[in-house]
Amino acid sequence: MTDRVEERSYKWPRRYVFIATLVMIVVLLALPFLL
Amino acid sequence: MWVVYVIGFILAAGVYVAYLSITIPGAAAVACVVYAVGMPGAYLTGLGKVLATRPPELPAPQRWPKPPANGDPALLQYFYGPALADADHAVRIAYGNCRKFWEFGTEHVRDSFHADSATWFTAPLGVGGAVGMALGTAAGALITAVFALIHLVVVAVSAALVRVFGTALRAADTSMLWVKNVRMVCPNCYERVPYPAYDCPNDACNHRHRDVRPGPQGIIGRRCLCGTRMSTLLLFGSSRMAAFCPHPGCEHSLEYRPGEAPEIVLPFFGATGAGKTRLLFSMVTQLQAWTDKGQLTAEFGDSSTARELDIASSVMRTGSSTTGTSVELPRANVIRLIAKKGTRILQLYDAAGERFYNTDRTQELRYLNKARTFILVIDPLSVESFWQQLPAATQAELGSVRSAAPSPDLAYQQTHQQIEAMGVQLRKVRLAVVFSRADLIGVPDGDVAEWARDELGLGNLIRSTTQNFKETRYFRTAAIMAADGLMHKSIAELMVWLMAREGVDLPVELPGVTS
Repeated sequence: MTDRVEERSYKWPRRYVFIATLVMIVVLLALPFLL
Repeated sequence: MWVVYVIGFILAAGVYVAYLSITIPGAAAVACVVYAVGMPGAYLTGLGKVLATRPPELPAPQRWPKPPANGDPALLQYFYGPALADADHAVRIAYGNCRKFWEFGTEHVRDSFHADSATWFTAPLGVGGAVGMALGTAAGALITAVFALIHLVVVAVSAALVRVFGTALRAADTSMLWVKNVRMVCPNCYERVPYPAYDCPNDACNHRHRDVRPGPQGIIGRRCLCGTRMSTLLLFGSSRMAAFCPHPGCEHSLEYRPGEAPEIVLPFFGATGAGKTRLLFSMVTQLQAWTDKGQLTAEFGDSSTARELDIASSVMRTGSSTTGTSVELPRANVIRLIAKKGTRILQLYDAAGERFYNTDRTQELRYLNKARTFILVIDPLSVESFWQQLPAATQAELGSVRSAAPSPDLAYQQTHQQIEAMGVQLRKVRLAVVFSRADLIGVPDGDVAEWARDELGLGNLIRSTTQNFKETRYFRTAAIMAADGLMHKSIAELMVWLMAREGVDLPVELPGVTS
């Protein structure tokens, strides 16, 4: 029960962290080309 | 002939050396690129599985934060532990993926040296692959570490922002309560309620949350272990949930939705039979009359108050007498008062007169140090010198209603000393001295204090109340109902004075009294 509740509760925070991490990585990789 | 063999050998050796010079660097380059890209790829795949796709075959995390000791039955906020546990989980998944990837490569390198008839052909590929794997793994590990660091930075920054936001929200809520002058008091145990406890709004769940404010278990909202979402602040509507006193041992229901409006604690004190309960009933009846006329809205704050005070207006209408108040510790009668200038919660404490004769019983009335206005009720008939002045016929008529309690001085001195002993600075609180039964002994015009001093011989009491309290006002009240359903004007006059400093605009204008 708690696991299901956790999955539901943490779904969007997890997605936010994943997307934010990917965006940061892409920005970091693109940095040499941008500068 | 041997020359042909030598030339052939040299040609073959040249071709093989050329083959080596191409395959070894080529295999090394390919392996290096594959591992340099593959390892970060494996990490991102693991991160995606942990944070986004959550496939059913995803293994359970090895580390998971424990809920705080003595915490509420609610999930931890994601950035108060689970986010770091997810980072750890992603690294472990990525490590597992990389290990499989590495084993795949080493197996192929090993096989390249054991190809029965073609080892001379495959071995250079294996050598190049091994060199490339080593270089690629080093580069891949570095890139993966940078990616993992970025993930941790995202988690750390988010966690910091969440904590700052939670603290700001908590401060805003506290400020709002302070600005609105909302200080909550439990009507049952008389303790200050820093914040009410709330039951989970899910009817099928019996979890109680002692402190719902922003913290490790939720910032804007929290999730009960049953899955139901709850508000964390009065700002966000937590008062709509069923509230309870958070103090262990009490945990009494706070049905009146505390936190929405300032609470006014009004303790009645005085000797037994002085008329405290009758005065309380008169005030409630007056509020109901104003409500019926649409001039304000007064409603019982909880079912206990409704049970106690539902009969107030009928008692006043019929003129029947009230029953003696139980000597048990009183529970506040809670009334929600919605007037033009806002809403107030009245907590009216009516303790039995016996409680004001000795220290032990008075000091149990811990609500006394929460009040800013007190109501001392005195039955003039109980003053022996005044009683003796009355004609015999009047004495015979009023004998049955006269309070047989000791002198009103005793209850006053006892309570006044106890209020001081509780740390209340009397110079900061107000006192209404109410002489009851004005309907029975007449309501002469003129200064009430002077009348009490001259006619009742209560000079010492009048002097003490005037000197000790910030503001003292003397009233004579008649607990009788007029034909229009309103109580005698002396009740309204008293109520206007009581409410004047609390910002409540009662619908009555009286000379010399501003609200």
